[in-house]
Amino acid sequence: MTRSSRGGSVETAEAHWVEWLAGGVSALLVAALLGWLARDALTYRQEPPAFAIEIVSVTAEAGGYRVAFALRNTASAAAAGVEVAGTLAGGERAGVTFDYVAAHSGETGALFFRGDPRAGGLSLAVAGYTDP
Amino acid sequence: MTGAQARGRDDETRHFLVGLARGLAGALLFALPMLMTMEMWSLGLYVDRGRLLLLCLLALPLLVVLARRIGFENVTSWGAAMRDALIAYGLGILLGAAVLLLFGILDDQPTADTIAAKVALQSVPAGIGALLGRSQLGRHSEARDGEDGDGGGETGYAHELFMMMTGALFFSLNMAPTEEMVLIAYKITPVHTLVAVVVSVALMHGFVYALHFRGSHRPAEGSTWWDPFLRFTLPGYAIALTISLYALWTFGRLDHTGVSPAVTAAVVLGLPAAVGAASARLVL
Repeated sequence: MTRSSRGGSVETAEAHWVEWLAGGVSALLVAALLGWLARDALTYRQEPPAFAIEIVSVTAEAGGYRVAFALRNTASAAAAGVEVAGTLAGGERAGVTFDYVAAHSGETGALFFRGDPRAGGLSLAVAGYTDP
Repeated sequence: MTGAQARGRDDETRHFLVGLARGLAGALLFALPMLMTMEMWSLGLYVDRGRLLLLCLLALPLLVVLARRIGFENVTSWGAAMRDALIAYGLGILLGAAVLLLFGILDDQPTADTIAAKVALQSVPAGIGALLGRSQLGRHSEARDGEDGDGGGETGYAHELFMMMTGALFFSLNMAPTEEMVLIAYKITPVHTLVAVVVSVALMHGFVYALHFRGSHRPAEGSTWWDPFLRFTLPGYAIALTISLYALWTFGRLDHTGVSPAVTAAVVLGLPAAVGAASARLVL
């Protein structure tokens, strides 16, 4: 309990057991957080972002084809302005830029082509990124 | 009706209107930074509607309890608190819509859906601001000082935690929509994050116990420093982190991210949330 008065509040000495329980649980949570971050700090390496692209689906739509893909950053550094470029065998190009791809995280997106990507020759690659 | 009665009625009406004006002033004071944040406008387009609804629904009990706790003009019953909370929420919606309209942000919207979402996003912080404006801004002009001063009163543990939650929520809602929160989280290393946790907890404790602000707290005679630290500061930080996670999730900032980036973002937003939580204990 806390006693409020003009000069501020004075907490009373006898605390309810719930207060100690809340304090104990919170202390455990904060300790767990610190532990997690310490583990992260120990395993952290100064490495550039690394990307893996997986094509999820190719669907025919009116006037073209949609190529949905999943992009993963497998490194422990985040990347900004990640540009994904796709080309077809016939030379057709499409591209898209992701604002951010966080460390050990994924984003999804899609590219549109007029030619049929299922005919073969489709390639998706990360063209570039900036450090955030 | 006698003259005195009529005068009494007039006084009451005047009092109510002044209260409304104070509510608007408070909403304006607290919500302007968010009303003029670009991300809050674009969030109206893509924020998950279910999460937005949840935020708007959770705001109701929050406002009711807040009205009951710090309510304006002797809120003695839950009914009166409910009435005050709804008025504050309504003022928040009106003010949000009016200011967005003034800035030309609403009238370019093609659908009613995005207009509603944009206003709804603003209504929660504006509603909290309206309630704080009605109670806090008005406090010193009323003849309540004596009543405030001598008696004091026991503030329950739940009350302290609730105030910390409100402060943390208010600061989180202000900052979670901005891109800077995730950008900072992407820029810093785990060591920085670790330090940010320690700094946040130290700031919280310092704000309330060490700096001797008006309204600051002193531990009871004979107790050690870790007693209030364990009972108030650590639960307060846990609340601040939970609230910042909730705010980030609501605005879709945690979608597609792994655990570590999410924890880092929560700690980054947790710093202002912790300061908000601590200052709410002092101010409210």
